[in-house]
Amino acid sequence: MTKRTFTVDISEKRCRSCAVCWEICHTDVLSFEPPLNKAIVVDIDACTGCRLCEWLCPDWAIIVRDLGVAKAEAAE
Amino acid sequence: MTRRLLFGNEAFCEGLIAAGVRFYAGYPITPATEVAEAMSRRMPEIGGTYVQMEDELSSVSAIMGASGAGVKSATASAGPGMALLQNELGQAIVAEVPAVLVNVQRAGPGIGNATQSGQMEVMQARYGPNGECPAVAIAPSTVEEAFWLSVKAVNLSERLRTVVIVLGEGLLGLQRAVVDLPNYDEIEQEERPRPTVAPNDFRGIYTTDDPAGIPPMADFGSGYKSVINTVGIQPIGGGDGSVRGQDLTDQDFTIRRLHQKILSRKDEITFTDPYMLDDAEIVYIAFGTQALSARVAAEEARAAGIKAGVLRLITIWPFPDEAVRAACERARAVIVPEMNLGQARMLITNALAGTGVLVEGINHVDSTFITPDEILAKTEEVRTCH
Amino acid sequence: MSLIEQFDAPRPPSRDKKPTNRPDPMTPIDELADVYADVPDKHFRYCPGCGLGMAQSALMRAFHRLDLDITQVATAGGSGCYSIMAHYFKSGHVHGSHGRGCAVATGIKMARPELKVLTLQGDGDLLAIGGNHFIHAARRNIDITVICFNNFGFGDTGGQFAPTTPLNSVTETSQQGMPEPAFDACKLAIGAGASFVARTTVAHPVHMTRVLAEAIDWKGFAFVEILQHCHVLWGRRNGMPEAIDMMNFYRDESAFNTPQVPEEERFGTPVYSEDGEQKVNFILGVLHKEERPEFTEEYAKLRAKATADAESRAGA
Repeated sequence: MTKRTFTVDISEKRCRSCAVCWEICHTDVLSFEPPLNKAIVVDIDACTGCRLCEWLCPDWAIIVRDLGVAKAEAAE
Repeated sequence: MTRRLLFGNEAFCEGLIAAGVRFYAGYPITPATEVAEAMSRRMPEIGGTYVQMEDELSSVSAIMGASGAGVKSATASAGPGMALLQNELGQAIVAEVPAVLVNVQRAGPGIGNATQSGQMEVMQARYGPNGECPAVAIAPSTVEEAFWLSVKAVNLSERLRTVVIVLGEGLLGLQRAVVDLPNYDEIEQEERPRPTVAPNDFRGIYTTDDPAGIPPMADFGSGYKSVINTVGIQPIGGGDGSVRGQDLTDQDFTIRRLHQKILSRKDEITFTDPYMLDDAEIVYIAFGTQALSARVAAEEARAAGIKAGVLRLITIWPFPDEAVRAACERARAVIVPEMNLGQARMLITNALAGTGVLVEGINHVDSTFITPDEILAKTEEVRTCH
Repeated sequence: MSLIEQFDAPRPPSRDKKPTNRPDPMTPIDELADVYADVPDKHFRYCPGCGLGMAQSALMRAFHRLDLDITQVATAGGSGCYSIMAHYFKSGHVHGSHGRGCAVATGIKMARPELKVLTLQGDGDLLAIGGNHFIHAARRNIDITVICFNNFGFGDTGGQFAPTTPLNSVTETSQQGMPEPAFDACKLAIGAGASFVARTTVAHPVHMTRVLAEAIDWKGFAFVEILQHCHVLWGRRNGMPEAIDMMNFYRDESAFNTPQVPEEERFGTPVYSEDGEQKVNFILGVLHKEERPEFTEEYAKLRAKATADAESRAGA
């Protein structure tokens, strides 16, 4: 099965815990880490690359990169 | 050389054009309306732009934008319009946007008497906007001078990166006179300083650490990022104050620099017209249209054996204190004829503080011309009573 | 400092992209920021979660979608929460007095018609103090794009009500409930003569990007109203204290301008009140699009004729 994979990089420095990204993510890739409740990636395999988190982050604290299909095939 | 019969308002228009103004945004208001009318005709003829904005506030705002785009710009207003645009004027001055504002003064306060003249905005020209806002203002006395001072105003605005006010009057704006207009190609046009560094090294149009500095200004679309910022307070040495934040030291530096960039160049921007002052014991200090009466009165006084002289003020702001003191070195008394309740007289009294020179005024607020006879009568009064 | 330098992750080597003549909409944000933005070393000056940050992203994506040369873009605006947005882009900007953005933009565009000119204005700035300039810029149909960040009030001064604040809502100057009805800025724009009018929200980022790109590309006066939440002031006082609460509100209370929406509802009265309970109804989408003569072009014709007449008079 071919599946595209993605990386989701979060800048802890820029994140200000507004909660929009982990609330909006429809496949629960993201969560938050107490005590500062900054956003973290908890399930990267679930990421569909929709980029809603990157597009909506008001602090530009999330970068989503498409690693392409080939990488997933190589991994298999 | 072209000989023309021009209204004063048309002369303002031609002077601005001769100095390179190619954008005019305005709004009709008596007695400045003819400047807009002349501009609406002339601007498109010479490849320029006339926009009639919806009020005076948007007129000054539009010229701020056009000047930021690199096009020399001007507007004119009067009375209530001048009061309205003080906000945008102060913002343009603090943002250091070159532009010219012509005030065709009329009788106020309030709506006042629109079709009557006055000289009532001497103080407003300096203290109109909020905060400690510097000013450059020059006042013509004749229609011909209206042309030449408009040229000078544009050049000074570019040199100093500020808004220069031409203090006209209704009496001048609506007066027709013969003017010999020069060939405009021969008029020297000054340009604001523009940056020479690479765009990536450019730190904004307020970059200077010189306490009297005039920073280079980039045009929109020239490859440099230019942020015209009416917040005004900018970090010393450059950078965007709104992004980096500014501290109180920056505030102090900015405000003082805005004033120093003008005051440190006072010599090159102080214009006066001294007449028979070498041994003058009675000095008439006047500006604008009323200076003409002063000149006639001085000549008649001399004929009667009185040592009278005239200091005609052309630069009103920054106020030429030194010129006033120099003119009154041998004076016993000064008479200030003006069409207001004593605004220039206040400034002159201040300049002559401690000298023992008596300062008297002739103050018309009925919009009538102060005649040479009145000045002579006052001279007599001053001589007999003091 | 560029955006990527504020992340711990390194930038991966460029992957082979399919050759295309369209900008790739999936370009990561740091690559966009390198081209279009001046990212500060510290946080954007918005509250955490503010809709302005989301609108800013969409604007950058819209620039990218149109493949704009950022040095040929100039913006104008006043002071307010939104005012810092223009400083975060590499375009030229006039941070002018409150409300005069449309007038400044008119001056820039008339002086240099080849520049792309936008205004970035808040709802109070554009529609209260700036209402007159908005009306006349629309009337002239001058080729500028006016973007209104509507957060239901004057945010920077602490959350007082503005002409778009929903009736009966609580704000700093309406603790008992906003007593004034709001107006529909889009309807006002159409009435004044705007040739392109659209409304979107930050809860619709894909739509927001597309509508902004369409508006910026439009030749003529284009107006985009972006419903952008202020959860810290308006939201918190009206039962929606978190950013996500207000975004859900926008999602739930808006509908797209499709043929199913009755004509009389199509413009979207942004607020009405029933039994003291506030209900709002936003109609999104391109609400009006009509080609009309554009002002700088019409003036260029006037100028050409005036110049020709003057030359023939001089020759005669």
